[in-house]
Amino acid sequence: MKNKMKKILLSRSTGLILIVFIAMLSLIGVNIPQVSDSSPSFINGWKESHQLLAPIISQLHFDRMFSSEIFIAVVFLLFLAMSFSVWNLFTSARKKIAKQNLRFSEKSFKNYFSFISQDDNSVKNVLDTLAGRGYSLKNLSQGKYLFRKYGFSQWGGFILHLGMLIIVAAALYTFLFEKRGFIQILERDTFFGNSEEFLSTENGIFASPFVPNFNITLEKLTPDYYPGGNLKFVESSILVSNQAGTRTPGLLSINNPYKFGGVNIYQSTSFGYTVCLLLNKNGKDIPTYFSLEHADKLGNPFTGISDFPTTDYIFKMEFSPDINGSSFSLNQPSLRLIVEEKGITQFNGTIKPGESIQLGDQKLTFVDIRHWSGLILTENQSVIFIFLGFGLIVLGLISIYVFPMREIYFAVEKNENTLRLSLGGKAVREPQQFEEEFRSYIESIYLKESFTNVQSELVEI
Amino acid sequence: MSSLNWLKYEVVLHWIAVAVYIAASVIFTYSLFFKNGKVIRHAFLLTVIGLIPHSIALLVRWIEQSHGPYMSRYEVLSSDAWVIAIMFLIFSLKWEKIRAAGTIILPIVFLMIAVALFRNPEMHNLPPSLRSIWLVMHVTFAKLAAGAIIISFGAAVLFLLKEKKETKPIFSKFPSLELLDEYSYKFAGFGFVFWTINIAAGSIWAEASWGRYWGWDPIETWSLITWLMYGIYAHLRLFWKWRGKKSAVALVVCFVMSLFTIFILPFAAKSLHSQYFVS
Repeated sequence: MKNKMKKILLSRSTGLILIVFIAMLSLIGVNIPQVSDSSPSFINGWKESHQLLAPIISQLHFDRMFSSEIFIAVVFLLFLAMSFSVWNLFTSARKKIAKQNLRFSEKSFKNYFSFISQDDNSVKNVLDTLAGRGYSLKNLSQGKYLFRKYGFSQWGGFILHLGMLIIVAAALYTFLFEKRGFIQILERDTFFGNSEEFLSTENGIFASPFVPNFNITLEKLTPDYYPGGNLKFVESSILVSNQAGTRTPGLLSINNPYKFGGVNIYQSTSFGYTVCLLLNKNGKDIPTYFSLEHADKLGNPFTGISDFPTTDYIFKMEFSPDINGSSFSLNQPSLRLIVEEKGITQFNGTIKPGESIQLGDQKLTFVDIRHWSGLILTENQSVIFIFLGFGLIVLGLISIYVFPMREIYFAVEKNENTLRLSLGGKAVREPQQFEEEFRSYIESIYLKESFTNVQSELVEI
Repeated sequence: MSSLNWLKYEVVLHWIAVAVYIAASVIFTYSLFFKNGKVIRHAFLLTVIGLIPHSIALLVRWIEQSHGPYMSRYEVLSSDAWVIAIMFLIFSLKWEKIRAAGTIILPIVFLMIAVALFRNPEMHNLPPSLRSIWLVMHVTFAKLAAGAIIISFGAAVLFLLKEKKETKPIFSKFPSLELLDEYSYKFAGFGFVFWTINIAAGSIWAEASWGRYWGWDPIETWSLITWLMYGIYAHLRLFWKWRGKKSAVALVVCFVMSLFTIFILPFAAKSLHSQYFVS
């Protein structure tokens, strides 16, 4: 039973079937809306229009395919199959490299050439020609030589599959243990590293709650724009404080994360302004922060729609900072505000920071305006292994496809005053191209030598 | 000179390149069908001449917009065609017999530019997340992969044509079936290597930009599936001894998959990648 199981796992067909299975599951995953990257309303709409399919999809967790039990199980099986396969490839490459057999006859080769020479320098000429073509001598015994070129490519398959194995292992680690969260942080505000402060998290199945052991204070957010107004660059200047209270300044921008205490902090493209409004209701001040998303282009206002907590008010906001001169109030930041209560417009106008408006018997004050920055925090120790795996795959593939191994056997037999020289060559990959190469070696030897009695040339077997 | 003027010259240069590539395609085909081996050199030379206006057009655009040609369908198609033509020339210098595949490859090249010319040639700024050296690596290797895959496809198609009607004199100028089979495998291998580096570079870039090396975006997923298909093709050849017709057909299937991933999906699917292929 154990042997049978091992045999099944070792079989190439099993590996290929698992790969095809992963490809099929991936196809399903990209064609069914995934919970992680679709809005709840979109998911619900899809479910309503696919009433037969939706319960099965939900049951199998195919709406979160790439973290579903089935997908992870298949990847795990592939990991097992590949582990066996990598071990097999290692032992077989070792055997092939060690195999330096000098027992050969012309029947062993498709490419075979034999001739009689009376010149004692013939052997040297052949050896020089092969050395000049990049062949190195691997074995020599009683006038028989074994030459090899690109022998290291025998390790190619092993290195390639080892790289894949490392990637699959690192991917499994990510599925299970990665920690990832998104925070929205205001200028001069601090993230205290509590898991509840994350706006959203995507943790691995077995990951503990994400609690970075440091604080982050956003000092300043700096967006930069192209002359046409498109966004060019976003940079956050932060202060990171560890548990001992040591504060370290840091800069991060898109494509340039900041690393601290095993956690990577990334700048997202999500940023904007936060408007702080204060509603005085029954003599009590209720402050509320509204985060407005940045517009596609400089000059367009930052917009947002939100309800005001503890009231029936709906706020529709368009904030124009003064930096671009397109503010409703020249060179000053201003907020275009529409306040609706149960469908009836209560206010429609523009206010500037520090100004107040009357909403019925309540007073609303525009207290403050600050940038906010969207930061992504991740903790995943396996990333370096993913890149190591990629490196090995590329190395393996290059050695297989760019440097396929060639072997040439050379035999010298002495007969009284003459020498019988025989050359045989083979290449498992690209035999046709090797045949041409071999022919060119022979031609090269011909040019150096004047031979007699050429016995056979490139015999087809 | 204003961007608009540059754009005019660039479009004219592209059309000149198309005209020269068409002439090269005709001569490649003529040389095969009329068994005129000397003429193929003229076709080869014309391809080199076609590359001159094509290269200038892309260079002008690169300088004018301060980034490489990877932001719109127009420039993606044109630069892919450029890479395919360059790769074909380089490989033809090393492996002369692959020149016959020009009959298949050159029409693909001029058709790609022609399709590009009917797209909006407007220039675009790079969004912040695309301002990375890893994007350049990612895009460069995607183009190299496309070039190698198209050459291997060309060799596979020639194999299938010759294999079907080998006795006809038209096909006597084609390289031998064994050699075509080997070339198709070799260039598929190069494509496989480049595709791997393309995925790796994209993954490193994604990690630096979004903090995740893989996001199961539709194009990422299809790219992985295509890569796996080429892996299966390699295994079928090596361990199941698929050679000749079976191998060529498998390669054509892989080519269709890669064509879908590189040229169709970015324009059709809602993907992180497609927002950069603005029309």
